[in-house]
Amino acid sequence: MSPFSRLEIRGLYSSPVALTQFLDEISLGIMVLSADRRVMLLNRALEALTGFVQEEVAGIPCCFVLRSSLCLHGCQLKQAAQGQEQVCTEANIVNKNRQKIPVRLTVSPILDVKGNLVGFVESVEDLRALATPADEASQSFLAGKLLGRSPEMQRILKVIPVIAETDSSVLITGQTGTGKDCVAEAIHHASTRTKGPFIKINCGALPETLLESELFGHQKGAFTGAVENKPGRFRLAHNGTVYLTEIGDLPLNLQVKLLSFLDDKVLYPLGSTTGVHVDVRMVAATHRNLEKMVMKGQFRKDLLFRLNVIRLHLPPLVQRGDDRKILLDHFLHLFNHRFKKKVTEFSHEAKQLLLAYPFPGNVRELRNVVEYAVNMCQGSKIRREHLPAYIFEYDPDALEYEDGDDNGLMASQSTSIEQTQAANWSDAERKMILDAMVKARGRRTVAAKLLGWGRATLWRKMKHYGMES
Amino acid sequence: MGQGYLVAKNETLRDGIVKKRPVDNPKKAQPEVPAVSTKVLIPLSGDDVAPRFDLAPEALVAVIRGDGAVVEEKTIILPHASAEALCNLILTEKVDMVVCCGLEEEYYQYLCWKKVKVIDSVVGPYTRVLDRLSQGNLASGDILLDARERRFSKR
Repeated sequence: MSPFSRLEIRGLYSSPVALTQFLDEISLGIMVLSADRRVMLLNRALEALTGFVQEEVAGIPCCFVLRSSLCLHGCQLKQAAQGQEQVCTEANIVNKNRQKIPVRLTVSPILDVKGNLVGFVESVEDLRALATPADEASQSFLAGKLLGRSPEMQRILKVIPVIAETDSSVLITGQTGTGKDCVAEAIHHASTRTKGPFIKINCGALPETLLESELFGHQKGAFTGAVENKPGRFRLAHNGTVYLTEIGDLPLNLQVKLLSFLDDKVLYPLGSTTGVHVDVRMVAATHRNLEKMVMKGQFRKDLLFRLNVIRLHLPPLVQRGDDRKILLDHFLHLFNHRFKKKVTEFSHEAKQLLLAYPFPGNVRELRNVVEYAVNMCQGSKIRREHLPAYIFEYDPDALEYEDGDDNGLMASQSTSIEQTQAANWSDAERKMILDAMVKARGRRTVAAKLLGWGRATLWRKMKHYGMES
Repeated sequence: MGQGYLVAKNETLRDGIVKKRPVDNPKKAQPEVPAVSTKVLIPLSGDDVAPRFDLAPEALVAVIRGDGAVVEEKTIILPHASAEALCNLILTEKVDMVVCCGLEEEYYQYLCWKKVKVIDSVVGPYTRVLDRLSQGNLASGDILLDARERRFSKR
């Protein structure tokens, strides 16, 4: 433990206040350094930003903790010591989670009453929220990533800023490829937490044992291999948003722990008896029908009620009417520009084929089809022969089962069909993967494209069904 | 100079200048390296592991034999600090393991993909890193500074 973590501020208030608590309440990352540039104290915001915890880094030269682009050449602390005045510069840091984060660093020398330098205070401001729109000017969250003029999409675009203003939990539902991740990010960026971190956690991507330590953190010695304290994703998201994708895949025992955290916003890292208060906004998403999972006992009813404060259902592409035309044109221009091609339009026949195809993989599949077509096209017009073959082999009956696993919220779905298909969903999905792999001649990337899934989704599902070898 | 170190082969092919570092124990300077050995690269800043992989001005390449003996050490001064150049050096030198401090995910994944073992977030002098590697107990996030080195100077 740092010898300074028990220091108190006396005389400021009626009773002494812990210095660490005082620093922890500041939303900027703060580091208190000695005159020889060693770390004395880190506040919680900087712990979240760097991934290091105070206890492990006390006494270490600051360059090994902050790891900024200025540390080796142009150290601000040296400049501040020479000029004995505040120095402020923009730079980037690489944190323990291997993220490169743009920051604004402000170093102030601390002088004693005689004017001698005794140390430094360094503040670190996360500039990701400001940097992102500049980097992705063409992809402004509400304008570029969510396209659509259909009434369903207009309703969603209108409601996002309203949802963003509140701090309530949001549950986003919708089929795969409908843009759940984009909506979650848009909510974060439109909210007052936009300067805080946006931490995405895929509940289905990690094994149960790892997931608990990943989400809630652990104490040193909590289990074999826990050689150091780990803050956990929730703690890293302090003052920001946690986005739990594939929440339906969260194991039952972790659902209990998440439920307890949602209740009091206090998390208990593995092996720790003391709780940590974390202020995060919760956004969850799933393509599964949580109500059905509750009935089957696979998802906790009380957790569903807590997450289901604001529910946002994203419509599948088939229900979005003319949006398909807009999306086809949008992706055509996007990939044309990206691949430096001279493709200007779709031929009438190709467009009709694409408009007739239902895109079970939704916008993701449509995007992949256009990317394929732009790649294949050597001229200026995308014709029938530039489209992937499976578009012509589309069998409406074969693809109907896609709806079975999805949210049962769509009025267009027939209940009887859904029930019979849901019972055999595992078999159907396994068959679908096998068919796609045969068509793709064993190439997983191509198979994933055919299915309208990401490569990771295909890998995960193959692993789930034991089809890896 | 001259007896206590090995002259690295083909160094003139690279842009960088090669500094030869004397090996402390002449017994270790065996010209024949057994098959079971690990080639390690450590980006350096002075005698410490560089705080950032992409900003390291030099790198140490060492060969550690299966029995833990360090049989070869050389320091390569990089023409300019660059993660890409360092990755290229790692591949051309056929390095088996990289020990560094701050490393971006992109380069971590790249090196893993190229079957290079990466131990990152390591803090401390390179000599201690080599000692720990020889003992076979170095892990990501290890801080190899003792209590004396963590003491604050008082003004």
